[in-house]
Amino acid sequence: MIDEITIKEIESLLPNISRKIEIKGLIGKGGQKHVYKAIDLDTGENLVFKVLKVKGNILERLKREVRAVDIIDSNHIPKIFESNVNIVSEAESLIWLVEEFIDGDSLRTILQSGRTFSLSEVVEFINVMFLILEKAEKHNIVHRDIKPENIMIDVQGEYWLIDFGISRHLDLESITITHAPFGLFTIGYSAAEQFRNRKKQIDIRADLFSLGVVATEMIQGYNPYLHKASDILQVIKRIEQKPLPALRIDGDDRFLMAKFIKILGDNRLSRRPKTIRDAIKIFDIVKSTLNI
Amino acid sequence: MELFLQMGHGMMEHCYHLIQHWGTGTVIVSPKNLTLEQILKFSKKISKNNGSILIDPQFYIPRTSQENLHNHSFWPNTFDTTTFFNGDGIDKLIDIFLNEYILPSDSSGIIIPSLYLEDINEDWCNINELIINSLNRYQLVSPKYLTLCIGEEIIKSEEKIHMLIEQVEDYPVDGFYIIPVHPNNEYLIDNMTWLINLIDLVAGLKLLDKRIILGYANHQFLSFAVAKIDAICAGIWLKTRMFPLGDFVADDEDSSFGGRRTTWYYCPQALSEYQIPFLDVAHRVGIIDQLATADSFQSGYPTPLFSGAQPSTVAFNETKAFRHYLQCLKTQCDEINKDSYDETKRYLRLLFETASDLSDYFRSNGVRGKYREFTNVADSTLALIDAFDAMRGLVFNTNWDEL
Repeated sequence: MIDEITIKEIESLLPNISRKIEIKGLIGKGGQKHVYKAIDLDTGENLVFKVLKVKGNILERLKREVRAVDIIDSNHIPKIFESNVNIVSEAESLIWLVEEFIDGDSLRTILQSGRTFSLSEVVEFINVMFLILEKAEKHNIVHRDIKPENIMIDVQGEYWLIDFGISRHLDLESITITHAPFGLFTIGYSAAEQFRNRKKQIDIRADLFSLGVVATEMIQGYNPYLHKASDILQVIKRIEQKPLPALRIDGDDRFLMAKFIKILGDNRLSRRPKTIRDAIKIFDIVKSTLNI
Repeated sequence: MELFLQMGHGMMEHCYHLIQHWGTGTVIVSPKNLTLEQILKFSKKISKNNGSILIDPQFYIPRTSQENLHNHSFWPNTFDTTTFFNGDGIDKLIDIFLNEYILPSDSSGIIIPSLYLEDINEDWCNINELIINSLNRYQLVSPKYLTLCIGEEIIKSEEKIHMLIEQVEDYPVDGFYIIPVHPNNEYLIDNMTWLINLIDLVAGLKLLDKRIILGYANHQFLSFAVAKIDAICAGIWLKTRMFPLGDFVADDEDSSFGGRRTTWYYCPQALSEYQIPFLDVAHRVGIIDQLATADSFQSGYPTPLFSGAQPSTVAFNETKAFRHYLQCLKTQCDEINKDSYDETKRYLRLLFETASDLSDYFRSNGVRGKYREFTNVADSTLALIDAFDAMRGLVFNTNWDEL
């Protein structure tokens, strides 16, 4: 077990940051992660200060997160200004990052309010995700954690993808334990090859699966794999055995958008588009049929 | 989609004849039925007629009781799994197969031997990798096709079929030679799960930019055109149109499917075959002309059957029946190649709906094709096209030109 992050620990990190920042309040918390809104006292710029308490090969994981954000270099991924690792004890360390602040809400928060998304909004969402994933694919990076908590919608309605914390760099050695029965994953959003830790099979198609599930959730308002599931094993069974439901979407008169989302989130790896280029090619045809 | 001739017992003359008639074509040669000398002679004659051969090493079950296979020089004298696969057994097999069979016969590609797949396990995968690595010691320009001889139970499992795709997707081969074991020894297949999983396998591999050849097939597999399969293989006997696993497991050469040897007439528009006594019935009830083969199939073989005389009294023998079947199937394979996915799908629906209506109509008039009648599998074949469309249609529609 990893101990909870304490306020004292957060405060102890501040002197390590080159900028003079002041923490304004907690904006997110989950597992061993705290996310704060902060302000640069010199420039007045809003920032995000993210702290994670972890054990294991942390420095490498942090480096990979920073590298991923840096080389993908997308207008839809918050910039990381500064980051480091502080050792708390023999077993535990704190990873901290100072990032660009996105003025908006997470997709999770919006979905929790009961709002669902229109066809044109989902099309725009997929457009943005493809822009990011196309660049990621070019650099052999798989995000591996696309889920509503990691998607932000800013006040202008722009979509952002955040948190490359468990991204996989296919040209670097994996830092997940090879023989572990399960890889790093978020239940209900990760493809079977990811949670089964079938490393050889992990590529951009794992992100396409998550994208398909998130798009389904934006339309339906709930994740069909998690909906009324009794436990994690039931979710795993559903993902491995049941395809995503056929969606009925206003404006999708030919049901092609529904089919496309189903293909993205197909539980069988070989039925998903093999590359983002392939996915975009299909999506372009689908978009031309939509009534939006 | 091309038709390759699947070699079986007594087929050499048919192959010469058809390849000469077509002016091109490929024959899958079966070492079970030919010696090395015969293979080389056969290959020469086929290439003289502008045809080509592929040699299926038929190494599905190394301990097969088929003596003819054991007599081939590439077949291991003793087969002990551990020593064969850990020692130089594989290299020897590949060396002999390449140097004595493939290269001298000027084969148009290499069918890579592989074991019968009853269950996907680490051993099967390791063995394949060893065989492919052994072959890769040679710099070969000819296309390499890995044999996937797949058991019925695997094909019935969607999970296992996808495990198989994931397993072989990175193999450095140009294509796959798939030999499926039919469910319940059925010639025409009604089992939807089996059909859908098999086409899903073909599609999954095709999308990896591989060439796919379906061995031991028949006219029902015209439906696989929707997955843009490259070739199906069929021959004269039922044993060459559905894989006779039993022949390789035990020595039951003549435990043929369908019972007694008899002559069948293939009615291409009904996708059904009828024994001659049933054509007599058609003659009697006045519908014989509707069973005739159109001129566009360029098959003059059954002309006497439709000359006005009672069919059982005219000269239509087994030889003509065999050649007629393959001639019609070749025409059907050629005609099925369309410019787009949608066009292919529409054409197949029309083909199968017409065949279904006609075979129903013939049946209602007392003309029955028994287990070779398309009526028996019309619903499942049509449903296969729709299910494929739901699963893979969008992707195939988009990528059709590049596949």
